[in-house]
Amino acid sequence: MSDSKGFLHWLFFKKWHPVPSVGSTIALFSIIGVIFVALGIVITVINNNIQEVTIYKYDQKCSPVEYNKQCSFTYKLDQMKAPIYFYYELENFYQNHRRYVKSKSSTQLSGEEISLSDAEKYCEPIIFNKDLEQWQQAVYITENNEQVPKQRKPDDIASPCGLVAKSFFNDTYELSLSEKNIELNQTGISWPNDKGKKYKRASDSESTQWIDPENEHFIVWMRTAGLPTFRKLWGRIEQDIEEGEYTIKFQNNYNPQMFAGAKNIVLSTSGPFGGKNLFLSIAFIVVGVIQLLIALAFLIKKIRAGPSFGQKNE
Amino acid sequence: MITFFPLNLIEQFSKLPNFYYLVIAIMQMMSLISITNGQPVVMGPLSLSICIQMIKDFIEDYQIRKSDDAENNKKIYLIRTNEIPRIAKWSELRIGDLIKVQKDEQIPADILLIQTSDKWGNAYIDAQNLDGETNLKCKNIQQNLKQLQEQTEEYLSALKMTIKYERPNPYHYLFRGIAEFNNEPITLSQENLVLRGCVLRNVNFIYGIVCYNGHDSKIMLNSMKQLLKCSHLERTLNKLIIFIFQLQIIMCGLGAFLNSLWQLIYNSQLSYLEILNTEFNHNFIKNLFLQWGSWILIFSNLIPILLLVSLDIVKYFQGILITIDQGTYSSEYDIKTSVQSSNLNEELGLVDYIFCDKTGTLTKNQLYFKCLTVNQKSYGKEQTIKNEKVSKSAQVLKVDFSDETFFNDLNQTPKRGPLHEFLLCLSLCHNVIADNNNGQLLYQAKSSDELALVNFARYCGYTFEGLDESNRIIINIRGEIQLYQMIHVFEFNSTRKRFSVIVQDPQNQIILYTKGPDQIMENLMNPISPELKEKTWKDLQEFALIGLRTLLLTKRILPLQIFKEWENGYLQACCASQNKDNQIMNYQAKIEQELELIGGTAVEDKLQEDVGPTIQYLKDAGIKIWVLTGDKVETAINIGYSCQLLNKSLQQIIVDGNNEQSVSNELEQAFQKIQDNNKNSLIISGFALQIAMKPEFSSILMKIAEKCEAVIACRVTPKQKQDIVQLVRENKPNVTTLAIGDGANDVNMIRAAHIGIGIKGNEGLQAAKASDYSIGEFKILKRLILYHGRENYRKNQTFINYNFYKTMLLVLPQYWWAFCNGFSAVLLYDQLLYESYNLFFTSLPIVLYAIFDQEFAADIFTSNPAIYCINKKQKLFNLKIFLYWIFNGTIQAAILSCLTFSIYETSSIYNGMMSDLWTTGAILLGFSVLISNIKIIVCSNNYSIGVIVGLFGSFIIYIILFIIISEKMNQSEMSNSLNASFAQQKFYLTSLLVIGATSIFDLAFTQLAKWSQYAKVEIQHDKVYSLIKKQHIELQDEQQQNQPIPYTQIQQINFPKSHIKQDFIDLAQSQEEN
Repeated sequence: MSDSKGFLHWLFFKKWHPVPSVGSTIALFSIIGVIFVALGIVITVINNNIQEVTIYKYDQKCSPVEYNKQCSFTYKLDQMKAPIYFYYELENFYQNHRRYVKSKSSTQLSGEEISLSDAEKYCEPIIFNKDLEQWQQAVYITENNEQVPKQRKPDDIASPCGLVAKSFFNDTYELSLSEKNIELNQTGISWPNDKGKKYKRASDSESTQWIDPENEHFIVWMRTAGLPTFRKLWGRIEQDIEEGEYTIKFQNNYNPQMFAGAKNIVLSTSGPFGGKNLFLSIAFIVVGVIQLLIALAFLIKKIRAGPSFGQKNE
Repeated sequence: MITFFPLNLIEQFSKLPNFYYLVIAIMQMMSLISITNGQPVVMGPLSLSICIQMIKDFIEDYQIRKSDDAENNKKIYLIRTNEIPRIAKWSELRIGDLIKVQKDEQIPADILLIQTSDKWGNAYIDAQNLDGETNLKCKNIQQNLKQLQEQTEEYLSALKMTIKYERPNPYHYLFRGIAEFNNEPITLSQENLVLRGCVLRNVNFIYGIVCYNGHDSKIMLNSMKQLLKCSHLERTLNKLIIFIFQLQIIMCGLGAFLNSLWQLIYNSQLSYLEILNTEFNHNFIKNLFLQWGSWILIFSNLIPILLLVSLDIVKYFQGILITIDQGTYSSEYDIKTSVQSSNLNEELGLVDYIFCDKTGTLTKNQLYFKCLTVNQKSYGKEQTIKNEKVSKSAQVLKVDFSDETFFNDLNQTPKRGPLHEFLLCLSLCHNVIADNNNGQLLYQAKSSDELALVNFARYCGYTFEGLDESNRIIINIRGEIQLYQMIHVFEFNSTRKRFSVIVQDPQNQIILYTKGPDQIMENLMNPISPELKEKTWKDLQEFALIGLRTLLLTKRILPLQIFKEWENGYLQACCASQNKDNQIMNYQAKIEQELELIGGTAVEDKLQEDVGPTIQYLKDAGIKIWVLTGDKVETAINIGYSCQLLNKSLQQIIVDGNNEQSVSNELEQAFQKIQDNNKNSLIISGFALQIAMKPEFSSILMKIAEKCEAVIACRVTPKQKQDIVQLVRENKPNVTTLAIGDGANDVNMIRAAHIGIGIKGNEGLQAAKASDYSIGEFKILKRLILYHGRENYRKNQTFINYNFYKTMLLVLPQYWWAFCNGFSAVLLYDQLLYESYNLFFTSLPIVLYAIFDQEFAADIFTSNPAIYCINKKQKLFNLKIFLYWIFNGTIQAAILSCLTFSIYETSSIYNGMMSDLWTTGAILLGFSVLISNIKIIVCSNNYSIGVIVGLFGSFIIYIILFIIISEKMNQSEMSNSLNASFAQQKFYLTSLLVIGATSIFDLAFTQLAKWSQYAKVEIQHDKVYSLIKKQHIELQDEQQQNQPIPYTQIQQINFPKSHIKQDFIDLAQSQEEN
């Protein structure tokens, strides 16, 4: 090896050869275990400071349950600090199904026209306007989520096409405390750069598209979730709220019966690691405890087997 | 050249993984199941992999072609009827052409001799390339063709002759033909045929007719087709690929089934999927097959695409490391180890049997005159002459003798006395050819022993200067020329086992000199005084004990009358028409009686350095060593002792019967003997071996051999060496055999064994060329096997396991996640990231690991053969360890998948934003990259900067690619996801958790495994082995110091006489008869 001295030698042949003894391994595992448990505790504390309220099956709170109707109910909320995020949550909706996630055209969503063959290729089985819901065929939804009546030709290519777009969640909410409206800011709820870049309205949006792709609720919807129970950001309350009986008025459009699931409302504040995540804190503590147990097991084994255990006779 | 591309392409696709990926590419183009929108994206990495393999093959083919061309373009003097004689290429030769070969030229084809420059019509050839024997062979012109000797070239070129001979066959010693010349049939034999590959020596030129050329020549027919050697690991790898493929099919089938089932059950809840009754997906069975296809596409990365290519690269660099390792460099011969088939690197770690040539491998193949015993006095055991005096006579080769007492005794009685007789006998009784080359006297001989003897005589001033025209031996005794008339020579053959000359000395006395082994000579001698006999025999035994080859020299002064009487009979016998050979032999035996003792000689075949300790180490590593030698049984046993292959504790079993019945009896007895004894050694003669290897005995032979620590096969031919290796391979298909040799006669054996090792020695480069590894000397084998073999096996095994592990880590999270998406085959990752995983993110670190990792320092391996034993037991690797890795990958994939989705999909990441499927997928892939790279840190025993850089570099490549896709590729599903991933603390916190939940546990298990392994092998350092080495040296010292040797020890080596008295059938002859 002497003739390969130099850079390569330095790079590959100068080796550090650690020989971990039982003692140092026990120490290592103990330290890591303690760190993990400690982190778990810290995260638990942070989690506890994050407030999260879930209003389950809010559509059932109106009686009779009718769809495409406005409805309101009251709900007691604790005091919460701004910003408070307002989510809707769907249960048992497989936005991650192969057939579903495939069914959209990125080209079309970025404002370009697509050919029929592309539409057939990417948007199966929702290709034409006639494949859309009835209401979608007769409406144009603006950027601000306002519906403008507009009749479309059934045999034109739907824009946006595909299953994801078609199943667009179109409930709307209003929040008020004793007749005083609390503003739900619906801008800036989509990912930065998504609007106007990945999702861009076509040049003659109103006449060719049934929804403006720059509608942020739409953009949020189009970012398909990974699990069948998912929440999507709908609005932001940029003021602290007090404890009280709040009235939630909502346009009950989306029927959870079609997916045999439920729709919930989630109000949540945020911490340094995002929303409340109990799993994270539990996982840290569990992993840390297991590592401490491993250290303990090594220690026991070392005591039982005597000093010869793990000694590398070098 | 033109055919290379398509043919190679077919070859490439016949490799399992390549074909697999071709099928995947086709599947990717079917839009119904495609997860890539109908683009065969896998073609990219596939063509990269195939290109690399093709370039490699091309370079190899090109080199073979170049060497073929070089051979074909060699020049020869060609004479054709009606054509002007010219220098032609070898490739132009046709059967029936007449060619002229000059001295020291190679023979281009098998040719029939018709004229030589030698007046007796002889041609001496050096057939080293064919059979590895260094001595010259004599070929001659058929008696009835000798008239052609006088003819000119023109006559020869116009010569018309019909020759009928056999079809091409591979037997060197078999040629029968009939030439019709002047309407007279002439019988031709192998004596008249000069074979391709030989070199012409001692004769200025020969003319010959081409009988076999090109691929029909015997050397080509003999060169075994070089089969592509494939290591056990590679074969296992193919099985593993099939296993993984089956696993894939089953898992995908299961996934597809569950999906269909899920869809069937929940159909009413899936209205947003708008599955129409008319669609494929609606039908349970059709959907099953569609999903199956999709799942297979998602799982396609389960078989790492670059596995074969990167394994080749790893092995190539491992080969370079073997080459540049100081420990495999032979400083004595200035030879570096070179690696011809690096694909066998790991096979070196599994060796069970070593088949070892003796001459040139264990020994240096340099015979030196060492000792002598004359008149109750032995000389040569001490080296008393100082260096400067030795250097004076250094031009005399083959002598390692500097005993001053000998010269003192010699000078006391100049030109008379027993020492004079002794030297005279040495210089007269031999078959050496003296070649006076520009005033320098060079000897050439059939036997290296004789060379050593004649050189010793020369060293002592009794110089043999050749024969004069009237067949008189010219002896220069210290400046005084004496002429001895040569009367008869009785050649050595294996029946007679002795060599005699009858000469007439300057005083007209007729003297018979005979030399031979003591067992033979004993019965032919006049009774001598018991003291002399005892002392002489004891001396010879001592010599034999230290591995020297001994000979006894005798003479008989023949009264003229007796001689004349005998000679009449003898000459008649020589002309006898029937049973000539036997009659001659009888007459020769008649005169070789009443011999008087002159003295005994001992010649040393020097052992290579450190042969004894090396063999000891290899034996301790659980390797069985078989020595295959052309030597006699006695010599072989002597060598066996001197190289520590045999020792007192081993029970010797000797099988050397000369017919089927006796061999079968001996085998039966041997089988009984070994039943209750595990320390045995088997010594078997070539002929007995030929019988024992017949199908009816081979199983019992193997049973015996299995219980023997050492096996020595004596008097074996090159073909037999190969057969022995094949016998072992056939009977024990799971063992790994290694053959090591240095000569052309070992080539077949080297090719037949799993691993062939050639020693670049005196006997040319044939063995080294045919071998997989070529080394400078035997002792390097230790380092090559115990260190490089063991480590490469460990590393390559890890390499393969790891490659499957990391793909598990990539592919399986999707499968686990499928529990949350109705088992619909969703490709979770961005296509580009997915394909880059095996190509860029995880390929380099494992390659660096497999090249540079090292468990212990090299010395610890070479001094602790026990580590090697453990390694071999890990042959069980194939399933148990592999399944462990697979299981490990599966579990970790589940942990990754579960943690990532739970953390990223259940709560917001920042500003209340939720993650989406593709971002979570890309992050999950990042964790796979992270964990699979950390796995290398966990597995590694040591860390160099390069490896660390490679590890982090791989992860950084992932991050860079992530950023590029996220920021620059709007069309990608995961565009804009940078903010949701590395920009957030959540990513780092989750990374920490993921490492803690996978790699840290890996670390615990790895540590535990290592500790329990150390507990099994007590690393002994050099303690025990330095002791053995010391003992070895002491033993040699003892012998050199002429200390009395315990009688028991001598008893053991002393060969039972009954065996010697049996008639040996010369194997060479029996092979000729084949």
